Amino acid sequence: MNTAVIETTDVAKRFGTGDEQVRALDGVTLEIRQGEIVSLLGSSGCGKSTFLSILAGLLEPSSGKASIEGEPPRPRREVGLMFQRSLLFPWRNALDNVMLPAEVMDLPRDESRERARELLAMVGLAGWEDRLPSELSGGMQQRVALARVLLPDPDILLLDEPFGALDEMTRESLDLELARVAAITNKTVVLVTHSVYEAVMVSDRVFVFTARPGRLAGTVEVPFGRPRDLASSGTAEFAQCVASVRALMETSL
Amino acid sequence: MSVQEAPAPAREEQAVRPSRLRRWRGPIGASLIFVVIIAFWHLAVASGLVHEVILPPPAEVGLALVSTFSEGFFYEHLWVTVQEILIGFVIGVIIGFAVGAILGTSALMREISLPYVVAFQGLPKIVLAPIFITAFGFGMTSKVVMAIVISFFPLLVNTMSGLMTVDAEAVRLMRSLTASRRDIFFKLSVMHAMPSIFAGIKTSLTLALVGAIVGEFVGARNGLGFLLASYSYQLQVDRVWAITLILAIIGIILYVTIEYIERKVVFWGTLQTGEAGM
Repeated sequence: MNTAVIETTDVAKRFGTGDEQVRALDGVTLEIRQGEIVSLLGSSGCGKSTFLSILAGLLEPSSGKASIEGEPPRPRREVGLMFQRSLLFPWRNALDNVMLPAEVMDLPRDESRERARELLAMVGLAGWEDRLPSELSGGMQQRVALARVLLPDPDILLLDEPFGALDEMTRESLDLELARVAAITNKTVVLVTHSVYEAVMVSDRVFVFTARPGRLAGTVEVPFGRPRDLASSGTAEFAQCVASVRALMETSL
Repeated sequence: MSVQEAPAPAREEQAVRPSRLRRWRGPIGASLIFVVIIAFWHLAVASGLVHEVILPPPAEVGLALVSTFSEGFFYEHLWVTVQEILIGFVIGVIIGFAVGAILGTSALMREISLPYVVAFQGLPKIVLAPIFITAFGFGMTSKVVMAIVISFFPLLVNTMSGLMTVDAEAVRLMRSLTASRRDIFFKLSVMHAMPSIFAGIKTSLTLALVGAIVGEFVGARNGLGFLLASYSYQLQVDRVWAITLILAIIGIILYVTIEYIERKVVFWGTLQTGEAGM
């Protein structure tokens, strides 16, 4: 539980050159332990998505060092990335969309298909396997995307506002579901969000980012264990935690 | 999952069956227009508005059509032209797709070749017909080359633009899944470009027919374009019109075939937007 799976030291990212150079990220040093759920919280444009891309191995840091399970980040099976948009391929039905990672990674076909069916059932879409994305609601599409990112059974989930485009009720239920799945399968989760409530609801720790350049303003430990349910959010402790995160955000503006 | 979706509704329930009138109004309307055109045609000739040497009455053209179909040599000419169109079209599509795929995926290749692409786009390709006849002779080859040259370009442009509009975030998704360039191309980009590619293929098909016929006009010993030109010199205007109609029918048959294939391949709809976001 205590081994760090994600470590970054002084990670900075600059885009462009000269006068037009934009510092998206500056001096981010943090450690995320195996099995932890953490949130990267900040207003839009604070570089949190950039940071996630660096962890996913899709962007190189301009300076500093990042490592995942002791290696420099690169796209690989052990790391799953999920986006705000479902990015389902409209020419593939739900099942074949979930199967996409298996095809790309050359996983055993029959086994993966079986697993894809189970995952679709787990996200509440049993019986919808042969439907095209155009026949699914936004929430259902995002659940298919969740099943897709889980298919290769990654150890680490990098989630870029995965339910940000959904209504609040759907988002809450998916957040809790995600936390439950992560706990059962002992996954490490990094969730990018701009919702204080969502961050406190699902995480063990909340990293608060400042904007332009994105810097780490501070960390808030969430003082209750998992699993949580909607009732957890009604407690005084929860409210206090939300308040301290907010305070940190305000001082960092 | 705390929320279990209700079982997926059966597909049949979703499709509201159109009433009989709705279903047939297109074909009935089209047939009515056909009747009106024939009537006007007949009246225009009968009243002397259009001279018979330019446009014979519909009945005469109909007779010419029947007698054309009853002559053996017609089928030889037909076969030659159909071959020229199809071979030219297929090769044109292969070249158009291949070059379009290269330009659509490589910014460097695009920058290098842009002046030539623009120059070629501006050139009225039919001016090349006499040169091709000189180079490749009076046989089928020169017409096939003409059909290729005139037909590959729309597909090139459509393939290129289709590939270039692929969602950057979907590419990021593929990369995060450890996809190779090859996987990204075949599993994402080409599929994304498919509606645009088919639009290009349909234009290419029509142009392949134009290319073959223009080639036959300029210099040939057989083919429907040659036949049409010969009838024209002999002032057999009814036959000229009969061949014209046959060429239109060939065009329609080829076009409908491609549309049928398109509906099978691009089954997810050509203008899908919204949440699926592709």
